[in-house]
Amino acid sequence: MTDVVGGSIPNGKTQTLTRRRFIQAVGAVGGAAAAFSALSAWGQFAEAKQTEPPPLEGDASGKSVVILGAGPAGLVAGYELSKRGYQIQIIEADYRVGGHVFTARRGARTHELGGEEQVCDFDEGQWFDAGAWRIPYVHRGVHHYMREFQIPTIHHTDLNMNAFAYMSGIRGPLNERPVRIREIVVDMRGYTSELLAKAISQDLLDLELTEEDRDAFVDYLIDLGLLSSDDLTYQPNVARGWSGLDLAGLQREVPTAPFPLQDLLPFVQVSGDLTPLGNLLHQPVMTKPAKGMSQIYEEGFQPRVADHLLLESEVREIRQSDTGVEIVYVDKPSGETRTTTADYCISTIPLSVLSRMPRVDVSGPTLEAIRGSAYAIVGKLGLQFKRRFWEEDDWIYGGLTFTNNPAIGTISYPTWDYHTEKGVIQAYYNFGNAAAEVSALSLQERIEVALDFGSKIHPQFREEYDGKGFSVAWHRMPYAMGGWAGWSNYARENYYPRLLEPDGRIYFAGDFISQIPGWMEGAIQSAWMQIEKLHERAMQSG
Amino acid sequence: MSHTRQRQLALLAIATLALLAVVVPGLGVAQEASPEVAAPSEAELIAQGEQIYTSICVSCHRPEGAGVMREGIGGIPALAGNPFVTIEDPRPVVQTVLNGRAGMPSFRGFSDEQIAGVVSYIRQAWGNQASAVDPAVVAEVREQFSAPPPEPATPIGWTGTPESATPAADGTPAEPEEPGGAVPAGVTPIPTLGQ
Repeated sequence: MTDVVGGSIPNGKTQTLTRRRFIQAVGAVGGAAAAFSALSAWGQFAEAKQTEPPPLEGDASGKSVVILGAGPAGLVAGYELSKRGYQIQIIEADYRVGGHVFTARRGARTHELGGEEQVCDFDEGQWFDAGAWRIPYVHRGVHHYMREFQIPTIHHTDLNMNAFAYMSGIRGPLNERPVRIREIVVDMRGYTSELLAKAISQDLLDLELTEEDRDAFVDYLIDLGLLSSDDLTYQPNVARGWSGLDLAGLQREVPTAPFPLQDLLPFVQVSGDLTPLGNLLHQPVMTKPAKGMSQIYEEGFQPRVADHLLLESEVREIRQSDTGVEIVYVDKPSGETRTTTADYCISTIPLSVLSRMPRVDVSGPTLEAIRGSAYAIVGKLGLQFKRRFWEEDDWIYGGLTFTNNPAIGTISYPTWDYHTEKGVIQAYYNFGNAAAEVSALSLQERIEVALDFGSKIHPQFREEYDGKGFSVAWHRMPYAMGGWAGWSNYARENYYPRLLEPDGRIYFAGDFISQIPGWMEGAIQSAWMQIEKLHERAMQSG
Repeated sequence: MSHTRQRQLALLAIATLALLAVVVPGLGVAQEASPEVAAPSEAELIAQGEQIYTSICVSCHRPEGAGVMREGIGGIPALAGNPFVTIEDPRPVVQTVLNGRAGMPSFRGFSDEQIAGVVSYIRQAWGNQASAVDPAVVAEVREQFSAPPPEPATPIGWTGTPESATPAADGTPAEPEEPGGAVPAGVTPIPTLGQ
């Protein structure tokens, strides 16, 4: 990336405004908050490099691969290899495919380690994604398979200007007050633009811009910030809110008054921008399958590898020799210990689980690499409501409400089945220590946490709650043991590269062996990379 | 790492501390102790550690440090009676709490005193008998793994359970531990967007 700010800064022959200088200049006028949100525009990474599976040319018939785990990486590897003639087996410990992709619908089951068994009792047709739940447009591998399998696709959005933001523990009158995201965003764009426009038009910033470009910049700020072109003051229109809206009658729309800047600053210092525009992976519009993320794996992959898929089969040992691999697993329904062999193995078992397996025949450095990642504490809860009050009363159609309560994180509204009777809200999505604390509670207690807090924003929460909730604490799920891998810089440098290469005949694939742990695309790209390596070797060995 | 993510991580660390100040009485005081205030006594450290254990660690390691062992797949290790917890040199267990390991999350957001407190607590609770840990030891380990070690990690053999193995040099989250003054003390910033 060049050192020049985005696309909004002139970069033609008069280009002299560097990123550093721009930020210094913004900082000098608008204060730290403005400078920080300018910096956030650089949060850009992780565009999918490969957009389709590797070609894998040559005849692979007679060669065999055993794949451990039927999440996205395992299913992609199994499906692609089987298409090329490999004899494959996929061994999955859970009763379902998908791994960290888990659409919670009626009958879905979990049993957290040391916890109660949950069976989802949502009404037929009601659901939420308790694991992966939104697909960035840059994640071409996921979209490749959704297209190939013709999975019905809908929008997901993080940004809903009419959803709420609720900040606690801040100075001023906006403390513990649900405000519409648009009120914050439009006001801050207005004030920031006003400051910049005034400073630029009075030539206070020492910008090396031509007069023509300065005018263009000010014109843009007038548009961006809803500024009066007469005196460059922020003059909001109804974009921030309105009173007395009477569209068919005589009365004209009346914009609501902006919050004073000094009331907003403590709020935005904590909330940040509230739009995901500066984060490539969260920018609008994201997508998802129409009936939940599991569709990709249960309806797309599973029928295509069904003959080679073993569910409820818990791997206990991964053995290898110079000539092949041997997997010892327990068939859970019968309790029998069984063994299977293959030429190669691809393990997609999360490192948090693999590091506790009784026997894995790998070298010391590989083992150390397996143990070298920490896993994230992550929890989610879905609540079924009798009435879609967020749509009927609050005019919220999808998107997220943001809080700074770490036990809650965000509250997410469904982007499906609008205007129907009932719906499921993702009532918390939490991380870290707060997620650990909440996960120490029973399901009923977790629901109480969500109802208590949700009621501060939506007073309808308790009354409309339909008595049905389902939650997952990923760090307590026996076959996940964490939401996703968290590689420290040290581990990323010293351990991660080791796992990109096979150890003998054992290959590793999964979102945890990618630059984007916790995203399905990481799992798919990782699987594509590893099957290409494996295939090249298998072809050479004749 | 993107600026956004760095900021989110930094804020998350602070969020954690802010939450603790609310949930765990007394911790906030320790966080804000002025230089004139004496360092907490060993008993105070351990009491603080017990509060952290019973609100956070307990979600996985369970009451009484019992863990959740699952035949064949490991599960969550017990801390009671676990020699990895009680060996004389506390640095391996301190390092595990700081950096995470084998699926255990990293808890670097805690202060040296908090980690010393919780490690001291688990070394002495439920019949465990081992020395308390000085916060200076935590600071030392934190510093040691803030920079890549000069030599590659020492390979270790497969010994059955990770808990009985001596951890080699482990990783270090490089995120800043202070928010750079971005958010006033005591205020919980908005958590990360997540995946």
